[in-house]
Amino acid sequence: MERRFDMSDFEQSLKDHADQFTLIPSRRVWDGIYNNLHPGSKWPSITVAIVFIITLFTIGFLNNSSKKLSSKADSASDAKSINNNYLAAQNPVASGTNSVLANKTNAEKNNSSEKENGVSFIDNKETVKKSGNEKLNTAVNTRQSKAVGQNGDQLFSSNGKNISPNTKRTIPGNKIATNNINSFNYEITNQRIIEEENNEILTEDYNSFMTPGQSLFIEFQPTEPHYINYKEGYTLIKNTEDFSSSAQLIASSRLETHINPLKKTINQSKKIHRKKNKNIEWTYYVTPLVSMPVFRNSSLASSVNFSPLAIFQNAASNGMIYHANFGFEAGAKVTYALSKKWKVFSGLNLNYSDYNLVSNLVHPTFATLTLKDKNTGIPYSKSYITFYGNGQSLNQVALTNYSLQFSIPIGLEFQVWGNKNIQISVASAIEPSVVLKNNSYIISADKKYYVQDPELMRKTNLGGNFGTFISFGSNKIRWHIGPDIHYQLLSTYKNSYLSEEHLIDYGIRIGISRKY
Amino acid sequence: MRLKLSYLSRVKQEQAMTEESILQGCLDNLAIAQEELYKQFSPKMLGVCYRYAHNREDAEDMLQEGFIKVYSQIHQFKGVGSLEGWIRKIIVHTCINALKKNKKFSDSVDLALASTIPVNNHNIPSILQAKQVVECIRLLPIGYRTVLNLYAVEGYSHKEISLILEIEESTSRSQYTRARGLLEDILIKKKILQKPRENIRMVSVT
Repeated sequence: MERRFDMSDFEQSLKDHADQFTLIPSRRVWDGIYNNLHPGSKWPSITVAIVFIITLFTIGFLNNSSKKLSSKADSASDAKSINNNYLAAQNPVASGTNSVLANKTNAEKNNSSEKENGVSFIDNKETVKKSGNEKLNTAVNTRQSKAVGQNGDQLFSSNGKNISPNTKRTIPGNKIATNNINSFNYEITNQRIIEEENNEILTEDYNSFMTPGQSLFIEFQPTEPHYINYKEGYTLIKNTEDFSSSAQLIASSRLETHINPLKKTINQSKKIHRKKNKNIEWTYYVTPLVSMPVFRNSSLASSVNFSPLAIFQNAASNGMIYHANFGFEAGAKVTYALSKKWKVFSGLNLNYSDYNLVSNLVHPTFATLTLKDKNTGIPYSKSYITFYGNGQSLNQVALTNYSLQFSIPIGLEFQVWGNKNIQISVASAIEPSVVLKNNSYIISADKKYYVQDPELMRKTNLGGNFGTFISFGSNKIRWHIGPDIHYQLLSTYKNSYLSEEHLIDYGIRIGISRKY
Repeated sequence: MRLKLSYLSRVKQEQAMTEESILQGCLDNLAIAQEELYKQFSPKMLGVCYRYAHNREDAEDMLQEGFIKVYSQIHQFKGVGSLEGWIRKIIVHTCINALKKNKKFSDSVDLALASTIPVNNHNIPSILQAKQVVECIRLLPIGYRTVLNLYAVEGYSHKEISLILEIEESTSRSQYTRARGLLEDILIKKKILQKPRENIRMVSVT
């Protein structure tokens, strides 16, 4: 194309003026171009949303699993404690028959189990050193190593339950006083009674306490008269078989005495866990909505009597023609039961509300909005160029006013009626929110046009939510369904705009919850 | 990544993005250069689109489509003429195609309609500014407006316009004459133009 040279002054002038005209494009244009040119990075927002949702679910899941694990771990440790207790009770027997403690395999197993449980225990040598009896330490270690070296058979089964001591294959020359066994058991008993008083440390202490070949030494006091007897070399048992049977009897009777309260304690602790967990419930929900606006007049000073304000006197005279539209709400909430009937909840919520305005395309024209100065409260007018007229005509278009908000609902739930399977509840919440995205066409002062002004939009808001729902399902997973109303308490617009728009959403909330 | 770094270092060295560096960056498909090109030319090009489009949203859609074409065809720019002129040509063609696609162009070439255009006398201030002139152009029916834009502003000949718009050359001439007459009337009504019409000149009225 070559530029014509026969341009008149009019055309030249027109061109000059037209070339001077510039407009700043909105951000969406570049976003569209960028997404088109670099499709790989097209999904950051979706990715972020997905990551957010996954995180939400993961937190929920982990919350569940950690509790499950802890309760499992508790049960396991409890069970282990019982086993260890039993083993400990048996240990003196083993000690009696095999001089000291269990064989190497069993000791290793127990040690490793302790490591797994994260329980630190005191080294034999250190303990004995602390007690100031090096002789005993040497004697015991010697015997232990002998026992390990000479008696390779397992005295206990791999699960550590019940195993007959290998009394026939005793190590000759082993010496241990019968009374010592009683003394050990006595110590165990005392320790356990103390521990039973404190449920919290029960498991840990019990584990460390019950390690064969180790915990026994912790409790062994060289000042004990039995030890002194032992040290002095009298009242030694030579018939190990007799000793074994009598020791077993003593051990089992003591075991019975102490295992029962222990079991009781464990059960109680489990019940406490269950009771605590019952209070927390995670609910994920989605609510298809029908959204519409409610217009209200903003409070003005009584002295202000400015004619264009007349249109804002009530919603009916607002002049906007609109149609309700579909929106949605989705989120997750965690509910904590305060009592049988009352629950408190909080969570994360995403709400999309929109409605359509009936408009028509007009030639670009100026439209005026009447605004209020936020400092003085004096109304003033602001002009805009617009293409959209109010009402219907041949060039009809539908303008969409929408709002995407992220909120944190905090509320209360009350169970109105219910049995084990079905409950009817009401819930109410207040929702501070952040407006992620919105678009709003505002009617001009003369009610003829629609204009847009992002500066008039509020960035944060406050909503109220009320709903009733029926809950049903199993104890673990429950479904919730019921009507829900969401009302935007603050106006969509800032206070400088004289009219107030409050979005109201009606919907059916469908939720699924899990108790942890 | 390496390309981007070298490009950035080059830009840093030059302390400012020259047209060559932007072009090179765009050829390398670097987002930073593409954005720079967009920032440089988009306001003016949106002004062009706005003169053709029905409303601002349409104009932005045209601009978006036009720039995507610019980036995808940038390797075809041989440096003959200005980059702005080349981009503008693509944008104008994109606008025409969009109008054809939406049938907005052929819908309003009826002269009879032109006389019934509602003109809002009170809303346009009588200050001669580029914006007001453009708004007056936009008051014309889209068919007239397109021919006027192509002939008077873009400098296409009637023959070229007939090819672009797929109309007769005589139709282009007659539409332009009528469009010009109508625009003069509007401008005089708005006191942007002064009579006599024999020697029309735009003046500024304060």
